[in-house]
Amino acid sequence: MKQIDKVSLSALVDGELEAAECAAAVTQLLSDSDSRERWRSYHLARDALAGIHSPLRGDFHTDLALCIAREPSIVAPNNPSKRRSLALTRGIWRSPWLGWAVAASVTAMTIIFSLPIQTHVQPAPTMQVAQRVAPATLTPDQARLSNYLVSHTEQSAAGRLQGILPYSRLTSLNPQ
Amino acid sequence: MIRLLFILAAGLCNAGVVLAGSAQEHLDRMAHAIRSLNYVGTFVYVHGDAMEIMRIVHSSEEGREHERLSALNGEAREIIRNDDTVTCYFPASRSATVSKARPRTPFPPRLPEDTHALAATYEFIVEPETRLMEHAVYVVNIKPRDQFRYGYRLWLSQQHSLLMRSDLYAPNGEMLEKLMFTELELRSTIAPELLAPTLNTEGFTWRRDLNEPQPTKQAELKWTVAALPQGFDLKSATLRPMGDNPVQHLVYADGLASVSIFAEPLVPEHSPMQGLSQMGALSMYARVVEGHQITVVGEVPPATVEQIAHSVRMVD
Repeated sequence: MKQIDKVSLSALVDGELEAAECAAAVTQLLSDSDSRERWRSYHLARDALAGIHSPLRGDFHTDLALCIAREPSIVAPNNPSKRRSLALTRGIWRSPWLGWAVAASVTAMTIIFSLPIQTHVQPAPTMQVAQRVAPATLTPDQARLSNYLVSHTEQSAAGRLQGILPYSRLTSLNPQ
Repeated sequence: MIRLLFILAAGLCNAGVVLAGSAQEHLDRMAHAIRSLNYVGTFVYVHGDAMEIMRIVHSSEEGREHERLSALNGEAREIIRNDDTVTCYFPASRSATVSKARPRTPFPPRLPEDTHALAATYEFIVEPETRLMEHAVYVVNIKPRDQFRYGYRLWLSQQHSLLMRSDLYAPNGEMLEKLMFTELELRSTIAPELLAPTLNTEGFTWRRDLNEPQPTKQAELKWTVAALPQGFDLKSATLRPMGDNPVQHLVYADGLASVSIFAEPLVPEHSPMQGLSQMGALSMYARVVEGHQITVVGEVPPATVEQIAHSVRMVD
């Protein structure tokens, strides 16, 4: 079984997969140790920020059950009242990582995982996630804002304290 | 278990073990370590409700920095920095930008007056030594003294002064950003292929701004800020080529945070922008002044960009 690609795995963690895709992704996790290791690292990263000692260990089934049990407590609070946007920048900032989406993805995994794991499943359509993203063109105004943010980042990164943060912020842009 | 690997290889020993010192010394050592060491790491970056998992590969050879920063979740965004040239890849919009970055602040640049000025606007506290992921760390807390700037809490490894975690918080204590390494490996050398872009850029729209921004002399400045928050000074003024129109770019900084002001003539094909936008630590405020689009951007509270934007004046 080939490895699950990063985009699909990320979408799985982010709760962005459809049910069928989610089933295929979990099947791949069950059959490929490298993919499981990456899946663990994604969840571990989240745990680290939440200050939670992760119980994720070698057993995937136990891992999944523990992860599901703990999931609501590590979801970042959604606080839309703190986010005010110009209409033009709504497409520039990336969408928030919503707690309900994560919970939804884990719930989906629970259901699928309860099926007999020896069931043969058709090869996973892992590339569909990437192909689903339609190329988009920046409007002149969005391009202008992107230019401003890139230019500001270049200045900000030159400061002694900022380190890697400015460019990290830049990757959060979603100019689509 | 989260792994944090410090592999001491040949050539790294000169990084040395950092002795306890002032907050300023810790910050200078951190800046030096980030730029001068070779490392590969994975970190988590949380801002607002969003979380990014990122991979960084950094190399420094004979004073030249090379870096690849890639997002591991969501769209496969990637930023490649080769010394002063920065290329940003945004697959969602099938676009990429190539531009010249301002050289980073040389080390050690600190002047006594800098420290004195910073102390007027921030309180620097070195907290008791502690451990993070089984490594001894110094924690430096930089608390803002007013509502015009954010605070920082930085966890620095005692061994190499590398930043292992940073929190950025609002003057009221609200957490805005967190960055934390889950893996960090120091290496003696970095293979070139680890620094190469990995995305297929077929069909990408490219924007290249490789012309150096032209410095603007003080006497030729067309814009000024009447109500600048304490501690912010003009650091640079340039005319940047952006699209068809050159844009005046002013940068103000208080020693830690920076604010950019962009001013360009409004043209019919541009929609005027007005109002506030915010994402994590970044705030943006736009308004129209004297037929020009004024946009203020910075890692500062919304009140700061708003005050600056409303006090931008055209010089007579």
